[in-house]
Amino acid sequence: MKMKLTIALLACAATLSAQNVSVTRHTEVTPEGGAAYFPVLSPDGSKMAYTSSDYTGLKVLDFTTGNSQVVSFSAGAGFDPVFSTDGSAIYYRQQSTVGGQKLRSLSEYNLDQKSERQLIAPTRDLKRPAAIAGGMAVFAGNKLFKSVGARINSLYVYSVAQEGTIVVCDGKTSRVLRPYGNQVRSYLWTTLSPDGTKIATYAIGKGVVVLDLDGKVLAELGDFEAPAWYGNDFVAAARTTDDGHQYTASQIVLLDRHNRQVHNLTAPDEMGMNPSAAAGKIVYNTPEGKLFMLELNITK
Amino acid sequence: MKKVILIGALSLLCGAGANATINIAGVAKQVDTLECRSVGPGVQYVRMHMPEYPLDVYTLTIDLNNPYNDVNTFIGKDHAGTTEAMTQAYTRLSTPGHRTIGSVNGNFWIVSGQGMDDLLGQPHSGCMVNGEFATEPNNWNRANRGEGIERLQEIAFVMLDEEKKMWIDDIYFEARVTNAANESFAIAEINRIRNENEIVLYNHFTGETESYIDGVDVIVEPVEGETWGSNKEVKCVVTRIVPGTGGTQLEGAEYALSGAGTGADFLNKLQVGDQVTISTSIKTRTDSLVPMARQMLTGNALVMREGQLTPRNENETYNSQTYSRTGIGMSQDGKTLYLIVIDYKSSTSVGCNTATMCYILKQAGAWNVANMDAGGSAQMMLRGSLVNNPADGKERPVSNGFMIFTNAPDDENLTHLAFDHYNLEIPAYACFEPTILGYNQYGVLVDTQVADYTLSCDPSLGTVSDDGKRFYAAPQATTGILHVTSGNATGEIKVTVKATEIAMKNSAVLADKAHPYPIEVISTIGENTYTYDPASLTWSIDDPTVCQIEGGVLTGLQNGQTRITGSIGDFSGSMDVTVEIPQSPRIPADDFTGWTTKAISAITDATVTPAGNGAGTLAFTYKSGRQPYVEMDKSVTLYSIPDTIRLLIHSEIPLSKIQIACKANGDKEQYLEYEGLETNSDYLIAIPSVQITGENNRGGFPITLNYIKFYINTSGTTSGQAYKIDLKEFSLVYNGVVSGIEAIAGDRNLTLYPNPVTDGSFCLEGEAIAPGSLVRIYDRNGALVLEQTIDRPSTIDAGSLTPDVYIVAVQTPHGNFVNKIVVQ
Repeated sequence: MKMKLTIALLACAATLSAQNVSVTRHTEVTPEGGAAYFPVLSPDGSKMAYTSSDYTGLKVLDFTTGNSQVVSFSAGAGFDPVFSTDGSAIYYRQQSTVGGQKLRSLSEYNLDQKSERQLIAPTRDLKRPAAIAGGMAVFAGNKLFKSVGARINSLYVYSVAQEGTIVVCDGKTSRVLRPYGNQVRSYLWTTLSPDGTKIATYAIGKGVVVLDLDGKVLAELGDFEAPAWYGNDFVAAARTTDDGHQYTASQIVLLDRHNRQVHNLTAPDEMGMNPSAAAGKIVYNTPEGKLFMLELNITK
Repeated sequence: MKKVILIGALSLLCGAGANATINIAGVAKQVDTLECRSVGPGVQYVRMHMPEYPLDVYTLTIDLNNPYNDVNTFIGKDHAGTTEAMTQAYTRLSTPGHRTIGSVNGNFWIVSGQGMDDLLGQPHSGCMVNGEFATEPNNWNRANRGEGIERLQEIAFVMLDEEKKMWIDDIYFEARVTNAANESFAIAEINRIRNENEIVLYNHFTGETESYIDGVDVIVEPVEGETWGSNKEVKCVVTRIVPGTGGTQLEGAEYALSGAGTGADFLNKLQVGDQVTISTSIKTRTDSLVPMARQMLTGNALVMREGQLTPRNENETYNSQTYSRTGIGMSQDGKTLYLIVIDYKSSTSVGCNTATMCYILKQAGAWNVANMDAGGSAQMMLRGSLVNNPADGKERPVSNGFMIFTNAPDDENLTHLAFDHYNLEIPAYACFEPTILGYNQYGVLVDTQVADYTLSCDPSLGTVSDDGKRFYAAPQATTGILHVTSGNATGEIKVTVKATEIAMKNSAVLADKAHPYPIEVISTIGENTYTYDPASLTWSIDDPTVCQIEGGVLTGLQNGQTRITGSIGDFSGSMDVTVEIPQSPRIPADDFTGWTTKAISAITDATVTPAGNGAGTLAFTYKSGRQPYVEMDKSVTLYSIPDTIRLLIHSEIPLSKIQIACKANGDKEQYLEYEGLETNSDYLIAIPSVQITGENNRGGFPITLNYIKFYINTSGTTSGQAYKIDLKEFSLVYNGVVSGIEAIAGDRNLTLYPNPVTDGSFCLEGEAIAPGSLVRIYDRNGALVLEQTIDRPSTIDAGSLTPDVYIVAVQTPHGNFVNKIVVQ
């Protein structure tokens, strides 16, 4: 791994509209071998999955060793992978088109043993899996699947595009949330907070919102893309602008769900996008395929 | 010490306040002092305006008693015969411990048409630099005008002597060379052309001898310890002898005595190793005084002597005509030097005769005055920039002039501050952010814009911003002292607060949501415009649904027009506001209807037709002609406040250039030109609107585009062939308008669903969709990943798109829609 650049001083420029959030370290973490995109951190922040610009292939970089290992060369493998809760495995989907239909399968790759197994055969409407204690859960079609050993009462949320709903599963039953009723046709980037008590999502027409598990709107945080939980009180996201043709600016921000403050973590012209957060770190990519890591200090 | 230096330099010119006058031939003429500042140790710069002429007058007054200033003649690139811009000489001549401050031009110089083309660029008459003559004082402009004493006071020689004392008077000059046998021969000229029966002296100011006739060059060097100067005899030793027709190169300290005819006969008696004496003598014609000159310039006329204007103001047209002026004056004791430049041919200065110039200098304290080269040469330079507006409209290199130096040690520590403002009158309530000048202990201006300073004043005069940088004038008329500190350095200025009407800088502005506008409220006193903190005004809006004002910042709410009024104290001002809010980050600028065309007569059938979706086509039949062009004309007012204007052009015919005529509101038309177009390929022109309006100029909107002119490159064209130039895009980009990730609601006549796209396709429905609607999908980097024309509500196959966020732009006859979609 190449630690190409440490931009410690960017902390000055990148912080900080409030006194309680500061960037303590801003480091380029682009792996050797060229451009990388769509980074995803493991729960303990020690590993980072990344892919190519069109999601072909999936690799995992271990920050402690600086080595990358190939998980898959398949098309679509890099789209929204999920680490297991202990970081030893990664769940990813492979994409194929059969008879004009887009199908996805789900695989588990054990990073320690370098072994792989297919959990779900190619199927339509395979949601993003959720890592839960002991394994993973995923909704495919109208069914919830769990891996062997996964604890049955773990929560899992996903959004349904065409019906404008968010589904909360607890292993036994599912509840459908419609926080804005008919006002919102769809929800994007729906995720559960690490403590399993809140949902962050992008309500189309409303922006990033935080909900409780009953669908009550706790906070409307503004128009940002790709929200991702940073702990249980903050949401990392990207603030983008475009000219109707291309993105003209994109910066990584941290949204405080309590007071709705927006903390700018990077400069708009840095074009940071696709944030992923875990263990006090945020990783993101730029259009040129550079990956950066932010480490924050938050005091209250 | 520092205070003595600074205050001692103040001149009478600086005393001219807003209502001061100068006595011009017995008539009091109003003079307004616009700038007055110390620019160096004992060096005072003043800029004045005399509105009754009008005249713009610039003066430098140098207190020669100050030990930290110095005045030298400079000569263009240190060469007699080369001109140089004074702004370049400023840099070239500045050395540690001898830093340049400013300059004025000096002698007339030889130009073509004067019959001396071999001496082009050489100063007329005398020029001396640090004791060495570059050119000899002569009688070239002496016409023996007048009678008696007038003939003794015709030409003005401007000299600074060894005691740093000025002399301005008419002089006799003589130079001779004397050999060991005490035989002597007159030196006819210095650094000119050697003619028959002459001896001409050459030195490093030309670096070589010059002649067309046979003769001899005797090269000499001063004996150790000898120094050059006027009224001195300098012993030299012959080092080499070169017979011939000149062209002998001189090196280092070498001088050449170059003779022809009888001059050569005299020199041919010399041998290498012989000693000769070269003497130069200067004597004033009227009083037979002997200046020990170290510096010399020559003007065409001695226009004032002993405080009296001379007949030279009237007996030479150059002096009596209305013209630009450069003059050099001196006080009676010779210890104050006055440099003056007066503009001509500018909108604020018509020029004057030398008599008017003399009266101005006389009021300042001048005793004798020389008239120097004027016209486009009349220039004054300070700190590397011209301060006046030369008649040429640009800087003219000059042959020579006076350069002011400071010889104080380099020292960046500030000990004294001054406001770079004079006669400071500020409107009540107005905000004033001063320019602070910083001086060191020697009076050297080392910082023309001190950044770290703090203002303070008595509360009755006004208040100071929290950061100490701005002064807010009291609500009522008053006077007082404004203080400034920076470290241990201090300064102050007298301030007069006046009750003055306020006004909006713009009588009408455009507003939108994305460009908040801090309302520009101003007041004007004289040539100074002051601003107000818009937050300090009370604002009212006729129609508050159209716009809002928070903290003096205007933002549009919805399309419409209204009028806003700001009030402070007893004053108020109003402004019309038109709000235009773009609904999309990019909209077509025009539909390409109603355009007319122009072309050379050989080009026929030129028409502009809409191509739909904000595109258009210019079609014509080409035939060769002289400088062929075809032009499309329409006054297109660009909507709202675009950040960029985009034109995507695709031409079948070779183009050498595209010219776009456009104008900012209230400004004159400007022409933007673009080259490097390739035939049959897209050429994108992206014009930042600030390029047309200038920075921070809200009043410059709306922008109007008047024509697009295509210059045809004749090579590669076929006469009689029909050609097309497609304007594939003529759009306006609004940076602040963000494409949201939202399905377009039904009331917008277009619906996009589902979002996210999970099954490889999405639907576009709604009344807005009509035949020919164009759907474009771009990735985040702007790459066009999908383009499809639809005639009715349709399903768009996005199966080829990898999961990501995309921008969907839909152009329909009813409008343009931009949204983002997420493909999963």
